[in-house]
Amino acid sequence: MNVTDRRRLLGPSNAKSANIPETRTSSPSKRSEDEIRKMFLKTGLVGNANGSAYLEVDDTIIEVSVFGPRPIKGSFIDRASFSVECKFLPHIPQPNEETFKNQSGSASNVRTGLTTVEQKLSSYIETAFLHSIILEKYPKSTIDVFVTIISADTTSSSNKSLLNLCNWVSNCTSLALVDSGIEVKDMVTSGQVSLNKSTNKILMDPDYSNNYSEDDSVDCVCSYMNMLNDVVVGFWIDGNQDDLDEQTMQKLFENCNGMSKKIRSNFNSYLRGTIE
Amino acid sequence: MILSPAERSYLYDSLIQKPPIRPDSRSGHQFRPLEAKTAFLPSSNGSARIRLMDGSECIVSVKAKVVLKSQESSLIECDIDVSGNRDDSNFVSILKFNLTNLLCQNFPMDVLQLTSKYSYKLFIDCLVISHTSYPLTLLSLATYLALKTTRLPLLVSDVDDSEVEEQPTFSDDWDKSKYLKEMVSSNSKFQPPIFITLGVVGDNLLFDPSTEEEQVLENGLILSWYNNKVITPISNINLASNSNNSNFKGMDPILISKSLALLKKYCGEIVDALDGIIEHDDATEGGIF
Amino acid sequence: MELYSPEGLRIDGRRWNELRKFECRINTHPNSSDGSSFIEQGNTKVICMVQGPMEPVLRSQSNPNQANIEISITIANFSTTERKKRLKNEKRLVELKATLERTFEQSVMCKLYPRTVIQVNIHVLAQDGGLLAGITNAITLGLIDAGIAMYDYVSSISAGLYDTTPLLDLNTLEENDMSTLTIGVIGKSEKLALLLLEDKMPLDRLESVLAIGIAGGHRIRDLMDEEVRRHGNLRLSKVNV
Repeated sequence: MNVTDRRRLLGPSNAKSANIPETRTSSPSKRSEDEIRKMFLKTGLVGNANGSAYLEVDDTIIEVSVFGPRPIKGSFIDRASFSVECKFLPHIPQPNEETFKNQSGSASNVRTGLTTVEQKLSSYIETAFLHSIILEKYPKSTIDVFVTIISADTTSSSNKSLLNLCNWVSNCTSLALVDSGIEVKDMVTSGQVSLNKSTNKILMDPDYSNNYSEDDSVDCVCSYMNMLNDVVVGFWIDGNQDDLDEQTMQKLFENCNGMSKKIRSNFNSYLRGTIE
Repeated sequence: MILSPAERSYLYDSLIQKPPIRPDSRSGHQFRPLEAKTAFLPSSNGSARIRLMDGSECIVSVKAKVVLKSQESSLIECDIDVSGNRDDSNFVSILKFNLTNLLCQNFPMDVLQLTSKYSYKLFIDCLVISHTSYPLTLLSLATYLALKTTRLPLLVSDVDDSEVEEQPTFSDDWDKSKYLKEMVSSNSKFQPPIFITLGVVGDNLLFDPSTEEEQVLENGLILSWYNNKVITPISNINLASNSNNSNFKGMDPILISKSLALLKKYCGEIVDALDGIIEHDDATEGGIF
Repeated sequence: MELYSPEGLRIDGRRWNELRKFECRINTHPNSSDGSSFIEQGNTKVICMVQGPMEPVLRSQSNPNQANIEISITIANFSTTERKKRLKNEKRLVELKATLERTFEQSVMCKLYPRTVIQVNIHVLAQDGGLLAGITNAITLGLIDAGIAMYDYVSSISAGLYDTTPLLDLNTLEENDMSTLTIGVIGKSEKLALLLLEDKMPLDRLESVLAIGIAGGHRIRDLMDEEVRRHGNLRLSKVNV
């Protein structure tokens, strides 16, 4: 006797399996060392936000919405308060989350609130944009930025991919702020480079997922306001560097600045395109 | 204490002088005086307490546990509890991120190895009982002292257990225990990494800014120091807890290079001073207060 | 393991009516709180910091008739031999907090400080039995140091019953194996401000356990009083110079 399986909903007998294409074997793109990966930009996707931006670079997909200036309840404040919340979609593995997760202890696996990695990202963005937004223009209000990381490259087990993510999140946030029409002193753009210690070579916008096995590098993400004397508004240097000297630092900053200028010109041409 | 706009402006004008005039008459590269006590928790492998004159206080305990190496992703775990702040707040998370990041990347993990299968895992618990300024330096200095006074029991079983199923056993005699610093290979000194916070006002860099100074700073820097060198991670930070610090602005990259030079000049003394505290600390003296 | 030997000795060598080493200090954190204390009862170590009486942050916290006492307890992860992460809203802690708040609302002259809040922060650094007793003693000293008016000392001690013998001031090992009660004695009287018994105890034995507890409480009161007077004299000597 044929026992029917009551526990499952079986498909029709003539079912065909879905045609899933084989995973794309990403060939290491032949970029030169000072070339940035190709990106896809789109602003104004989120209808109910005051400004929004969407950015895709390889496996990294980021969406940023800006809400504000919104009025606040309660006592008067003479400058707008600014807050940033970065969240990964629940199923997305976070870069280097193993290190920062408390394995022992009673805290269950359920994510409540933001994880430590998300908090760090939020904090970086908040610090980097605090100077740029003219908060004095918006008394008694708040400006809230919500960043959603839809997909991220997490193959590297160190902070390096987090640095790269920081870079793209800050660039995307910048675009969203422009889209929202909130007054800013200048657009903040970031660059991220990696310096190989043994060869002393700089790699712009390194792709950590592709056969990138350089443990011997120092990595830097740095955010600039290029029209204000290339002033640094946020930076984070990480990596296996056991002696940081002024020359290394200068080199990192110069190249980050170069990359941020390239991104800025990309953004400019995109924004010009949206107006026309 | 929150300063009024007039007080802020006065303080800012005095800090931007060359050399800066700080409210507690410190020079730019001077730390606030602190007192410390080490090895006072009998149930921890290492412990330290640091107190500043303004009442900021931090207690750090180091506990070691024997673990199977294959099951652990990291041999150091930090946890921070700040009195009056929720554990999942941004403030506590960032402190935890920084400390974990620093220690996991810059710690001689080989001293924790026991056998080919087993290893120690260090649990570093920090309790900030009260704080006025940003407590990261306080935390990291206390962690330095706690790690330096950490003692681990002597392993009496075989080091090589790749062939046999055997759990490591330890000597019951606490007098035979070894300090972490004695287990580091002799050619290097055991000096755990520390964080230094710097405040930026104009062209001036201020070590260890106090809570009043934090409210007028143009930017803040977190730098790390290990084995007499400036190391990564380094980053900038808004030290004032509210986004209401209207002075906050970007900075010239030259200043960051300048901060490296400053650290190289003064950090050696800071570490020596901490080592001095441990040497002069009399464990037999009763009571921690 | 023998908790109480036929010769009348407990595992740490004490007799049935002996206290563990009790040390206390007041005014340990003069710069960060209005009143503070540190007590060591055996290996149990507790820091207490008192802020107030002060204006409450929220209107809803203020009571027009009397002061509000708020107690927050932090038990450090490293306080026990086996490290354990504790949540702030653990049920046991919430109950402990409620018990303490009720005790001190009766013992402090709250009527004198209307529309204010007295914030008590407790940090438990190490625990080895007698947690509630330790915290209660630390709060008493902290409140005294803050200059808050109280009717009398609340001195607290735990006592247990081993077979038919009452034992005073239990450590963790003893606490885990026998029924324990914690009492808070008011000054030199035989009145209790606090009594907590979480398991069973035969009614006919209760009196003997209470009697030894009260005697122990009086001894603790004397030790605390000594410290308060020592500190008082120290301050006085500074005023005269």
